[in-house]
Amino acid sequence: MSRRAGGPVEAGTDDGRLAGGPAGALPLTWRGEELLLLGDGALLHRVPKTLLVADLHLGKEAVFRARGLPIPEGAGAETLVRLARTCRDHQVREVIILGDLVHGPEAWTPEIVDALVHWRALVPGEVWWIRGNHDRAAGPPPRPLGMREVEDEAHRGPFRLRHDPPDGAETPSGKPVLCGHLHPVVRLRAPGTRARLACFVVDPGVLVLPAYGIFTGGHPMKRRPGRRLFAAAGGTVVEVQRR
Amino acid sequence: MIPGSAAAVEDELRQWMTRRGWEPFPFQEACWQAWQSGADGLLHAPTGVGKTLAIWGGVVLASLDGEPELLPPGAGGAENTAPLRHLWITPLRALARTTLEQLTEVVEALELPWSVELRSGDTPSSRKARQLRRLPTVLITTPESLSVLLSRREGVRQLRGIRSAVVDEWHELLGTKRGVQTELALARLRQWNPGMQSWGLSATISNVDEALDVLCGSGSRPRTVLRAAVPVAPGPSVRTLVPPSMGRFPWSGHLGLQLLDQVLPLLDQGGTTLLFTNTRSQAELWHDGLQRARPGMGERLALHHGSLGREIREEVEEGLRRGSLTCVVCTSSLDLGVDFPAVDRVIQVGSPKGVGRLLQRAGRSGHAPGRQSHLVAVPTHAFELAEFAAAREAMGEGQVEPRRPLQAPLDVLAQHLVTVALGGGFRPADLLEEVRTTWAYRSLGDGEWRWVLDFVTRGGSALEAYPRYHRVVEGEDGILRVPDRRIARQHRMSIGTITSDAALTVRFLKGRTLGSIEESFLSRLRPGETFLFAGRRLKLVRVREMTAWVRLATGGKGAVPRWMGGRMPLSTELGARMLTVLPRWAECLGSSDPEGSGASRTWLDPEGSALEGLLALQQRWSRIPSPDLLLVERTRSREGHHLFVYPFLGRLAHEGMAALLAWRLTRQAPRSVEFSVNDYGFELLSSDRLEVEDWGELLSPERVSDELLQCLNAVELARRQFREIARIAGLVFPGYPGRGKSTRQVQASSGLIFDVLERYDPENLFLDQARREVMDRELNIGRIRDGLTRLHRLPVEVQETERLTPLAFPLWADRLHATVSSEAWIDRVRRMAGQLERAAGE
Repeated sequence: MSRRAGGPVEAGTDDGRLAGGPAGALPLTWRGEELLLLGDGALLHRVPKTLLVADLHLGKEAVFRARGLPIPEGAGAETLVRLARTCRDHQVREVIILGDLVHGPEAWTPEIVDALVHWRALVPGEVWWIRGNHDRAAGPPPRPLGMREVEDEAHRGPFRLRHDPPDGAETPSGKPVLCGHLHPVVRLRAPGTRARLACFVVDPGVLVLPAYGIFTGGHPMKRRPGRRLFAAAGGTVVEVQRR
Repeated sequence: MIPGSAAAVEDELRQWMTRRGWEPFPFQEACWQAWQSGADGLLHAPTGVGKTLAIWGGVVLASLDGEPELLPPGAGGAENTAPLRHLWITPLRALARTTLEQLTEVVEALELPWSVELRSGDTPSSRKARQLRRLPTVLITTPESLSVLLSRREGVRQLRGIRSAVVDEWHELLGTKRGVQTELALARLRQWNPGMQSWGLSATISNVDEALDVLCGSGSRPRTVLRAAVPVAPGPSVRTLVPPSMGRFPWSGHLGLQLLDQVLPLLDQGGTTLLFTNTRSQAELWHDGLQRARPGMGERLALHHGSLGREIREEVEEGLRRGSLTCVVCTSSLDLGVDFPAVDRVIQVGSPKGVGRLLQRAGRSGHAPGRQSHLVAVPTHAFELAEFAAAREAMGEGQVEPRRPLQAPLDVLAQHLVTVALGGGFRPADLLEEVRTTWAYRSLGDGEWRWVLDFVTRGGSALEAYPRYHRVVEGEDGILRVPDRRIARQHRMSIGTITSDAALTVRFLKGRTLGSIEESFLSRLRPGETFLFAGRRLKLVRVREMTAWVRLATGGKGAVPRWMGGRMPLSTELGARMLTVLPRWAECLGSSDPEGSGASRTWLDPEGSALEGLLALQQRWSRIPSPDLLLVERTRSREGHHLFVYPFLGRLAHEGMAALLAWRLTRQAPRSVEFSVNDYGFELLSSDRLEVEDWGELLSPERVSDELLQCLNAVELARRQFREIARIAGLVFPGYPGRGKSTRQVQASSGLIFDVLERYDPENLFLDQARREVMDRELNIGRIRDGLTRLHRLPVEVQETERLTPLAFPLWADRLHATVSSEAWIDRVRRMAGQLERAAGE
C-alpha cells in the first residue's frame, strides 16, 4: 500500500530535447507541443507564451458568507495575486481561463471585480474566458472585464479548449483537449503520512488542469495505463510514479 | 382522579404496584420522598432494577403537591390534558419508545389527565407540527430535539411551564458534547423556572457526585445522590468460554469464529440471547456465521446495529419485547437501558475494554428486580481471557470507570447561541449569566464569550475578514435574533452534535431501505460485487446520488463493511487490574511442581488455567508483567532491532507514548524508528540497536505536550478533528436530505475550511479547540502524562529474548498488517506463529 511520490523528474522527460524550466516547473512535450507545468497549477504553452488556468472559483468565500457560513475573505485575492506573479515571471502574452472563474451569483463583490480588472490590465494580449458551469450560475459581471467570453469551446493553435472534458476524450483522436472542471487531486500514502495534492492529469487525448483557486476542493483521480499524473504542490511539480 | 393530597396518590401508586405483584424497594420510596422534598438528584444503579418507576413516581407525586391546573377527569382528548410540565430526556431514540410505554402505564393507572408523547428525529413532521401548537403534558425527547424546540418561539412559550426534567442514562451523555448541549438546555429552562427539579438516571460510574453537579449546574437547590440497592439481587455472573486449543502466539482477532461451535449450545438452551460484539463488522460476521450454522433459526435470528435502518431496528426491538426471537446479534446499539424482560442470557464477544461496559451488558439479561444476570464471555484473542478475568474481578469489587465531563467546548456554545437567537432572541449579558450557571461553562472567560458572540454575529473577530456576513443580528431593542429564514432552516437542520462520515443509504431496487454504510467502504466496491450487510449477502447494482442500490446475492463470499470508530481503548482501571491478575497467575505457575501431583495448582480463575501454556512460555522466555516494574523486551530479527514496552495503558495512550519515545530516541542519534501499538504495549523497531542509558529520562513526563505536538503530525490530526467542530459550529452545512444538488455551491470539506481559516483567520478559536481536542481525545494526553509520571520512577526490567514472546507477537503481527495485503498477512503470521511454537517445544 505504500506508494511514493517520485523525486523531481529530470528535465525533458518526454524526449530529452528540452532544457529545464524555471525552478519547480516541469517541461513536458505533449502531442508535439512544448508545455511547462507550473507549480501553482497553471500551464504555459511555451512558444506563443500563452498561460492557461482553470477553476479559480473567485468569490467563493462571499458566496458561503451570503448563505450563512462564515468563511473569511482572502483566498480569492491571493489567487489573483499569485496569477499576476506567474504572468509576470513568465512574461505571459495571453491568458486562457478554462472556466469557473467565479463561484456563484454572490461572488461578484466590488472587491473581486476591482481586483480582476486590475489584473486584466497586466496582461498585454487577449484574455479568453471560457464559461464554466459556475460562471453560468453566477451570471454576467456587473461591469465589463475586458475579456473575450466563449460560450462552450474554443480552438486556439493546435488545441481544443473547453471547461469540462468531452466524452471519449481519453483517446488521442482529433485535436488534443485542454480543460479543467474536475479539480483533480492525487492521493499519496507513505507510512505515517497521507497527502492529497492537486495534480495535472495527462491522458493521450486530454490534459486536465488542477483547480487554480486556493479555496477549492478536489476529486481523487484513478491511475490507469497510459495516464500520467503530475502533482503540483508547494510551488513544485513532480510526476507521481506509476506503481 | 380528583387531584388530592400526594399521600392519597401514593397509596394509589402502591396499590397499583401491589396489583402487579411488586413491592416498592426502599430506594424507590426514598426517591419519591426526595422528589416531594423538592430536591434535585441523581439515581444510580445497575440497569433493570426499577429506576424508572422510582423517578417517575417521584415526578408524579411531587407535581400533585399543590398542582392547580389539573383538569377534571373524563374530559378526554389531548387538547384537554394539562399543558407541558415534564421533560424526559433520553440519549437514544430506541430508549424513548420503551420509556413512553412505562410512563403511560403509570399515568393511566393513576388516571391522571396527562398526555405523554415522544418527539425525536424519528417523529413524522406532521405530528411535530401538531405538537408544536400544543405539546403534551409529558414530553419524551432527545437532547437534539429539545434544542430544536428551543429554537422555536412556540416551543419556547410552552417550555416556560416546565416543572421537572429527567435525564435518562446521564452517564452516556456525560463526557460528550451532547451532554454539554443538555446542560445548556437545562440552564435555559431553569432560568425561566428556578423551581424546576432536575434528576439524572445513571448506570454505575465512579464519579457520581461530579455527575450530579454537572447535571444541576451552579444553583443552590438541595441535591441528593441515591443509590438503588436491591437487596436480593446477586451481582451478575460472568463465565468465560475457553477455546479447546489455543496457540501460545495470539494475534488480534485470531480466534475469529472458532468459538461459534461452543456458543451454539447456549442458544439451544432456549429463551432469548443477546450476543454483543464490539464492532458492526463483527456483528455482521457473527450473524452470518450463526445463520450458516443454524439455518433452522430463520427469522428467530436477528441483527441490530447502529447503521441499520430505523424500521429494521424497530422490528428487532419489537421482537425482543414480544419474546419471539432466539438470538439477536448486536453492538452498543442495544447497550442502553431498554427493558427487554425476555432476555435470558447475554454473550459478549471480545473484551468489553472497560468494567462499566461489562457491567452494563451483563445487566441486559435477567432484567427484572431481584433476578441475577448472566453473561458468557467469548474471547477473540487469547489475552482477552485475562481481560475478562480482570473485568469480572473489578466488577465484583465495584471498581468502575469514571466519566469525565467536558469543559467549555466553544462549538457547542456557538450552536446554542444561534438556537437561542432563533427561539425569541437574547440579550448578551443575560445569556452570558445563564450560560455560566452550567458546569461546562462555569469559568468561561469574557474574551471567549466575546469571541463566540462575534462569531455568530459577524463571522469572526477579525471584522475586515468577514464582510457582508450576517447570521445573528442585533435589533434596535438590543435583542439578538436570526432574521434570515434560510439560515434559520439551515441551523435547525444541523442542530445535533453527533457527526458521522458521509454515509450512503443502502436500498433494495424494490424499495426497502436497509440502512447506511460509510462512503469509504462502498467506494471500493464495483457494481456486481457482493458484500455482507444487514445480515444479508447483497450485490451492488449501482450508486446514484447518495444511495447504493442493491439486490440479494445468490452466493459467494462477500466483503464485510468496516465502519470508522468504535474501537475503544482498554480503560485505565482495567489495564491496572490486568497488571495485578497476571502476576497472581504467574505465582500459580511457580507453585506448581512439575514432578508433583498438580494439587498445588490453585488457579482462582478458569481463564488463568486456560492461559497456562502461554503464561509459562512468557515466564520462561521473559517474564510476566507486574505493577511494580516496567517490562521491556529486546529482540533481533531480520527486520532489525525490536524494543517492546508494556505499560498496559490502552491503545490510544500507547500510540502517543510510542511516537514520543521514538522521537526522543531519534533526537539522540539520527535513525528511523517504526512503531506499532496495542492495548498492552508498543513496539519500536529500528535498523540499529536502540541504546537507552537512562530510562527515567526517556520516560520523563516533562514537556510531554510540546514534544508530542512536534513529533506527531499534529496539524493533520487537528485538521481531521475539525470536522466535528465545523459541523457543530455551523461552518459547514451537511445539506438537506435528498437534495444533493441544491446546496452544492456551499459544499466544502471541513479540511479545506480548516486550511482557509489557518491562512486567513489564524486567531479563530475553533482552530485552538481542534488542537486541544486532539490532545485530549485522540492522544489521551492526560493518560500519557499520568502514565509516564508513574512509569519513569519504576525500575525497568529489560529482557533480552531470542525470539518474539507471546506478549510481543501480537504487536509484531499488527505492524506487519499495516504494510502487506490481508491474504499475505494471515499467511505470514501463521507461519511465524508455527515457527515460534516449534521453538518453544512442548
